[in-house]
Amino acid sequence: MGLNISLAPEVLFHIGSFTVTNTYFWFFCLWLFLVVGAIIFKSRIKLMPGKFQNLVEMAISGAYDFTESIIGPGKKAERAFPLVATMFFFILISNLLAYIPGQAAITINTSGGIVPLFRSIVADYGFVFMMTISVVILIQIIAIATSGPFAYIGKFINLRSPLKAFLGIMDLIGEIAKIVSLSFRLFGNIFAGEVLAAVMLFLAPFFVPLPFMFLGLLTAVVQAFVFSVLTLVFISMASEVSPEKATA
Amino acid sequence: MRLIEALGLDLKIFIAQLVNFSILIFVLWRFAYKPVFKILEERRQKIAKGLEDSDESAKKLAQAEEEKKEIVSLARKEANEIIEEAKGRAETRYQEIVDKAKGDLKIVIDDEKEKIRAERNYAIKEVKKEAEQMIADALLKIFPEKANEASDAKMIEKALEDLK
Repeated sequence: MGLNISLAPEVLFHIGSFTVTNTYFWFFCLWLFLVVGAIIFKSRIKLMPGKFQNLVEMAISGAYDFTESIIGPGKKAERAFPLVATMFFFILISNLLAYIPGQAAITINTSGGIVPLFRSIVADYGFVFMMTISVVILIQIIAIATSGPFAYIGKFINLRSPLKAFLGIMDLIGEIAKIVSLSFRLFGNIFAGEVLAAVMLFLAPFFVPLPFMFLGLLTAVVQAFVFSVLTLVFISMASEVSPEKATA
Repeated sequence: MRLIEALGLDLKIFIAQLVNFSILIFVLWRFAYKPVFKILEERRQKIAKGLEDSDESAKKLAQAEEEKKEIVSLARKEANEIIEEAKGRAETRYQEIVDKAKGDLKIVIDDEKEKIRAERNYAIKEVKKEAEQMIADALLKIFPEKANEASDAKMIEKALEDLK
């Protein structure tokens, strides 16, 4: 048996014209779990917390404190928090899901051949791309709302001097680069981790993959953190009226 | 295009994920983040209130203690005063009673004395009378013929008067 590594997520089945890939399947499962979990959680929340509520409270308030420490307290943190925290928790949980043992062995027989049922959600570029493009578009909206449309355009197209024109083009490239760097950083790390684990498992099934799995576990946490913190930093930068923008 | 295919990008999945993710953000915000912040704030306030209340009650306790001391000392002072006053009153009352008893006794004694004196006077008078009679009788017996009752009586009386 050969090692089958696919960059794209494997197609599980079709609902009408809608293609369900294995990552989308798990995306939906996790989504459903979180939505239902949140609703149940809300109905059971108490002033005297149980163990689980304590854990959730700690995670959420810790995340909020961290958000405040980066973007500053007040309205900004309050607005950015839901997006950033949801991204963080979602990426973290989906990364950690990959470490439930045994799931890699489950495959299903589809029209496109035998495909694994499970694939880490983040190891699908489509999902990461969706989040990244949303973040980048959001950043542009925030920047326009903060410094006004003319200042925003003026940041990229500036004909007052050749240097400023050049810097404007660099800024434009920088914005596009954000999409690529942000998305491929997350996707690349997780996908590479998966591939590495698969290769190691293929070459030496016992003990040897363990260190790589631990590394992958570290990556899972760190990348979830990095992605949300970078998002936060981008939002924070876009929402500040810098003197550069003000004079542009 | 080949890159998109290789990466497995699918517009429908993209839209589905975008919509679902937005819903997830909303749901988590509405059902997880907000309630948690609310309950944390509530708890914080409750704890603050509890601490405040405990401070207050400690203060009140101290105050009550102080008040108690004050009341006790005041009561003690008052009790002492009352006892002192009662003692004084008892003293005067005792004096009064004693005085009254003395007075009463004196009256009784005086009365008795008076009675005794009267008795005595009466007895003396009686004795005198008896003696006069006896003397007169005796004289009459001795000197039967010279008896003049009126002068005799005068003489006897005079003699008795001198005897005294």
